[in-house]
Amino acid sequence: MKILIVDDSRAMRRIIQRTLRQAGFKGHDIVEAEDGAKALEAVHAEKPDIILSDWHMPEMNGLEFKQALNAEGNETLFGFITSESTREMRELAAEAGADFLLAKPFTPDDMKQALGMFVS
Amino acid sequence: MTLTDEIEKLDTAPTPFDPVAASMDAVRSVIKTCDIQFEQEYLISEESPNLDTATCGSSITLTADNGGMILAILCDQPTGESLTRLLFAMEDDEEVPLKDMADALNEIINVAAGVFKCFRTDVGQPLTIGLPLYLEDSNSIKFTCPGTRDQAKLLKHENGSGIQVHLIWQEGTKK
Repeated sequence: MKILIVDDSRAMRRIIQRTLRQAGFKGHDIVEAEDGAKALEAVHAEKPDIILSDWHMPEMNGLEFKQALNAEGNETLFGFITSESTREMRELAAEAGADFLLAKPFTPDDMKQALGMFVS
Repeated sequence: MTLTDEIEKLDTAPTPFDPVAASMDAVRSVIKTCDIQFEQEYLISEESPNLDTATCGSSITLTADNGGMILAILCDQPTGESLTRLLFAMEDDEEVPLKDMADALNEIINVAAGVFKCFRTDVGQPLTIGLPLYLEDSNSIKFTCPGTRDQAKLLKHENGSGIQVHLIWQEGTKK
C-alpha cells in the first residue's frame, strides 16, 4: 500500500513513519507532503491508498485539503493525525468525511487501533 | 519575532482564570507530550526555572473569545539539541541544523498545546491554538512587558536536562 503523510513538521513526519513501523505496519510505500496544497499534488501524482494528514498547516490546512479531495470525488481513505482532539474537532473531521482522527500525542498501540481495520 | 512581540499582541487572560490550575495543566501537557510522543520522562523539579539560562525554545498563543495566553517551553542549547537528535533519530555527535531544532521544539509545543486545549476545554475554557514560534536565542526569549504575568515550572529528566514550562498572560485593562 502507498501511504501519504501530510504534516508541516518534518519531525512529526519522521515520528509518524517510526510509529507506523512500531505498530507493525511495515513494507508500505511512504510519500510525504508538507501542506495541503502539496498534498493535493501528491495525491494526483502518487495516487496513495491512505492519507494521514495534520490539521493545522500553512497554505492549505488539513480540513481544506480533505474538502478539496471531496470536491474532486476522491474517496481515498483519510485520517487526521492532529493535536486537535476536542469533541468539536472530531465532529468537524467526521462531517468532512474523515475515516478516523488520531490525536497527538499517540503511541504505536493508538496507531494500530486507528489503522488496524484498514491496513494489514 | 520574539516572545515580547507575541506578548504585546496578547489580550488579557480569559475569564474566569485560575493561574495555578492553568499552569498545572500546562505542565501536565508538556510532561504527557514528552512521555507519550517522545518517550522522554520529565518530572517536576523543586528548582525554580531561571529565564536567564534559556537559550532556545518555542511558544504558542492560545486564544478564547474573551482573552488569551501563551504557552512556552524554554531550554538550554544542549537540551534543545538533544531533543532534536532524538526526534530525528540522529547520532549523538551529529551536528543539529537550526531548522531541525526549530521544527522539533515547535512540534513539541504544538502537541503540548493540543493536550493543554483538551484540559482547558474540560474545565469549560475552549481555546483556539495559534502557530508555534521558535525562539532561537536568549534575546528572543527575555521579556519585560508591563502587566505580564508568568507562571513557570522546571521539568527535569534523569539525564540532567531541563525544560522550563511557562504560561504567560496579561493582567490589567483589555486592549
